[in-house]
Amino acid sequence: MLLTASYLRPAWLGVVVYLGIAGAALLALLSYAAPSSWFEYLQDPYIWRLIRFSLWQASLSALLSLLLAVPVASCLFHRRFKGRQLLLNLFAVSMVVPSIVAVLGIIVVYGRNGWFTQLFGVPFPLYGLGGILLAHVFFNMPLAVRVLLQTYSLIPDAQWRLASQLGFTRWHAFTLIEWHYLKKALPGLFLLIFMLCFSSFAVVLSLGGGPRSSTLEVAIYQALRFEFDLNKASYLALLQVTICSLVALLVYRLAPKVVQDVSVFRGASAPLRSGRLSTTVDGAMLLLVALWVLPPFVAIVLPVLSTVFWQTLQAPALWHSVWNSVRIALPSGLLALLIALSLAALARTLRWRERGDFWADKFEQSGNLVLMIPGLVLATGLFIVFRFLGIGISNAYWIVVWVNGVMALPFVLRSLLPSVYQQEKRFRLLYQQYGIKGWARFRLEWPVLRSAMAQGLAYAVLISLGDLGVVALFGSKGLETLPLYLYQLIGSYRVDQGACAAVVLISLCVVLFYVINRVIGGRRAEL
Amino acid sequence: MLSFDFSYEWQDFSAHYAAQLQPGITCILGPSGGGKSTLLALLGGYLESKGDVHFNGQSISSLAPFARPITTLFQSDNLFPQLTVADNVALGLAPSRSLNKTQQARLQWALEQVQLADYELKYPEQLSGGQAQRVAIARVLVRDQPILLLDEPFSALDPKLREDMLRLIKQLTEEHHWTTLMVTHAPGDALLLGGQVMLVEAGQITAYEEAAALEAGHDKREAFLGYLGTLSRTPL
Amino acid sequence: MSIKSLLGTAALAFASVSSAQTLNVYTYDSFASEWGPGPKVKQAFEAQCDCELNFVTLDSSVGILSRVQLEGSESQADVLLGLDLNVMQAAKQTGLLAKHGVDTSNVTTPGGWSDEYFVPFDQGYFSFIYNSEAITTPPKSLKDVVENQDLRVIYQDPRTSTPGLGLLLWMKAVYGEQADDAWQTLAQHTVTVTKGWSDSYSLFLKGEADVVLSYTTSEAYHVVAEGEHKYKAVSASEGYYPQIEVAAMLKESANSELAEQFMAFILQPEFQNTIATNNWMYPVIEDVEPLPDAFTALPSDDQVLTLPAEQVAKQRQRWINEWLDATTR
Repeated sequence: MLLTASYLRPAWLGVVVYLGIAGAALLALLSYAAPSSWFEYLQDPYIWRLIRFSLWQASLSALLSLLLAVPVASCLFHRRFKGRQLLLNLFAVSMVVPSIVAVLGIIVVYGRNGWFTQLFGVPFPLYGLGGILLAHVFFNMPLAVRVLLQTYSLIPDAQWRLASQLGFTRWHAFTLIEWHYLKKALPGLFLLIFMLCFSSFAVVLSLGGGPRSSTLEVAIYQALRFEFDLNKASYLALLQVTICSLVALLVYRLAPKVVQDVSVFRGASAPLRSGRLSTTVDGAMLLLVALWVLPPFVAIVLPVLSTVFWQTLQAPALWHSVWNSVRIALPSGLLALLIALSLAALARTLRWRERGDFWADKFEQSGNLVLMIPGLVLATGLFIVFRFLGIGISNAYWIVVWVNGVMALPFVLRSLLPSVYQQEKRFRLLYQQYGIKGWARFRLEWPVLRSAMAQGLAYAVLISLGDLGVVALFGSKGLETLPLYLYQLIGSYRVDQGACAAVVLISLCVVLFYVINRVIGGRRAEL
Repeated sequence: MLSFDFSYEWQDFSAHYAAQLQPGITCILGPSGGGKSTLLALLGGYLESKGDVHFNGQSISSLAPFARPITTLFQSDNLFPQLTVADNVALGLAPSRSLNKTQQARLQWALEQVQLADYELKYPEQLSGGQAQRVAIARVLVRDQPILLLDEPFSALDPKLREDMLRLIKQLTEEHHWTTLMVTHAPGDALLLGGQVMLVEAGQITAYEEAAALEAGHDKREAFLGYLGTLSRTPL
Repeated sequence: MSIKSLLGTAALAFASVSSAQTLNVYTYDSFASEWGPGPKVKQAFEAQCDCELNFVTLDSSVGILSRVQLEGSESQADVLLGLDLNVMQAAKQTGLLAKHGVDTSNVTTPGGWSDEYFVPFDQGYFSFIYNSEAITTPPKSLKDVVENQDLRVIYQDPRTSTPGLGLLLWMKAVYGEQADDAWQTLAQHTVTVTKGWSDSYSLFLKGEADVVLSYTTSEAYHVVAEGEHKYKAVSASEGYYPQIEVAAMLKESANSELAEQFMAFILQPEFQNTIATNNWMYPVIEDVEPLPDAFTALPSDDQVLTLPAEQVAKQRQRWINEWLDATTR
């Protein structure tokens, strides 16, 4: 009865667009499954070696990313310095850098003839676990820092006021205040990074040093593309979902319960006692970031200085692909935001009700589903559904928009939910008393939620801009996006031009991220 | 002696405060939005001001909040919900919470002073509003700074409880020779506490008298009439 | 107005249905790209067919096949352009292909051509490429590459890339039953095994490896397009393994006459002349403009190794497992 309220109908529509279609796609794929043959696959020793390696590298990648992200986030929260904003913008972009571009950037820095070798005389042991971790931290540590900074903004000002009065040092503030909030965000964040690394594909192969370093995703790709074995692909996809779910269960079991704080006021933050130790640690962390994350970025944007860059800019095909990318990214970003708002609306309605928390959690976690199921599998399933329904199969555009949108859900939900829950907890009684719901409530909350919504939308747009896998599967006229164009260039010996296209892609990401946050998030938007 | 002469501007609001205070209690009265809490925030060091604050001849205006000889008791959120009662009080002795024997004893003593000796291991969410503020007062005691600023900390408490708290503050102020400033909305508080009253209106201190001036028939009452109104003959 | 244009593109996306005058050709991306043969082929064919040639570009040659398999009998493809030798058998087994009536007697692929479903459109040979300025004593055979422990090697994963699969078959053709030992030897000095050709070739260009698996024609690309002479192909004294790219037409094609016309056009000089310096492969007929000097002469038939397509289709997974076992041991 709670959930059948008429104002929640649009939210249910959003859920159907997400879970309904995803379910249909999976069922379509599973209709080709022959579970009796799976027993045979289960006995393949290579698959188990591969799973063991994936678990190991994904856990290490996630742990290392978090270990570095926590002090960096603390430093960036407390310190204001020139370039801080730029750093945060770069951090937002790092996860959408196409893997081949990131790998090439890493090669320039850590490769055999890279800066590291020139500086120290010995090459960095790049190929193997070292290289995989290096790249995964490059992709995910910045993401973790941004998520953690969001968590910081949930700490009530009163706590900083007290901390200041009581003469806390940064270390005291960290152990007594910050850790209390961070530890609630860390399990979810760990899981997010774990899943991203567990299914990481091109990076693991390129830097892994041989088939010993591989992921289930490679096997899924092989089954779908080379063998067109839908049975095997669905078995492998289910295996991946099972493993990720088990890890998720384990992590959530160990995780402390998230309790939303109500009193959040943003104001001037009070100064803390600054010691030599905290200055040293902050300096060291920033130096580490400057030496680890920034050099590959510098290497990636360095082609700006070459003449090839200006030649690349003159190619009409480049601008055509930019247009195609935007044409896909904006609608899929919007779709992701609408689905996330729908899930959030249902989750907030259930939260803090008797037995409601369980289902609220489920709605929340359903957003992570797509991290477990490879986009390629979803897209293939969807293709089968389209064929079954007799809808024109040439409409790959909508498949790409949907899959990209759904892929961004975990990130959009992460941006949106804390603020939504906060509103709900503070004003729920007022809303009930005055019957403020649906559109009226949305308008009321818009000034408070717009910056979170803008951030979620910006993430989703960026993820779609950087996507290659799904577009590649359905590549057809009108879908030649910028990453695809980039791979075309590199695939035809034009590595330098490809690097230049990568600069265009990154610039486009930075600009869109900024514009979306400013226009929709308003002037107060946190970037 | 606490003396200050400073000004503050924020958007349309501009304020200028100047006064000299002797140890003892001063109640700050005044209309909402008149700048009472701003005065406390400026003294506490939470807002940037132009001008100077002196305590016993020394300028404290360039000091960070934690370095000032001042403890502020806020209207709410005085405790860290993630820490126990004992830990919350211990913070006043050492932010690291590792206490030596003397400090341990002092913590016990402070909790006894506010009659919460049995609550050491409880968390703030398990306390009533009055108990929570008493924990905060215990921390004021162990922190032992000569100036105490109170920003309506008891406004949400029941009358009997509030009276008890005020008496406790009065007693502690006298025992420890504190200079205590308390923002309040109830002129009755000032009469109960005795000491001085200060009227803050539109960012200015418009009156500074002994508390008895609020009583009917007092010749200095004129200055407070604009705030008290004419209906309330008996401010209690 | 912006909403209008958005709706417009949406409508377009729904309406891109082939008309009788449009020939839909599924191909891989670099064939249809502006610097590939695609634009020239389109122009030349449209000049003689009075129709529109529409390239639908997929990411790779296996991408073409899996897309058609997904679409099944409802595919709008008329012609598939860009399958290769090693997926021919799988493509045939889908039952979606139609026989062509093109005369392939003048085809110059090793051993001649006589397949009733596929028409070859270009050919090339797998080879390792090295930087002659960095290596003083280059390897002279596949064996040299496999056994020289000082040589840092990058190749592609046979599970995800066609050259990778090509190497798998080449090794099998050269080493036979000893292939697993050879893989193990190679693994000891392998830098990494990448997902696709692009990843490994760009790693090689950045100096991460001494040799990389590519094609003999890579050498020609650097000379002709860049004037760069330092990149050379390792010769293979045991014999070369070929890659032959083929086209096929679909049974359900709505334009089968046009498709047939295109299949025949593939073996015409207008098509074949675009291959060398646009797709960086060899043409499959003799009657073409002379190739640039950088294209070395094609290996003679006795220098070419090929495994029968049926055997490849049957044993591929077993050989991949053998490779996995040997390299992850």
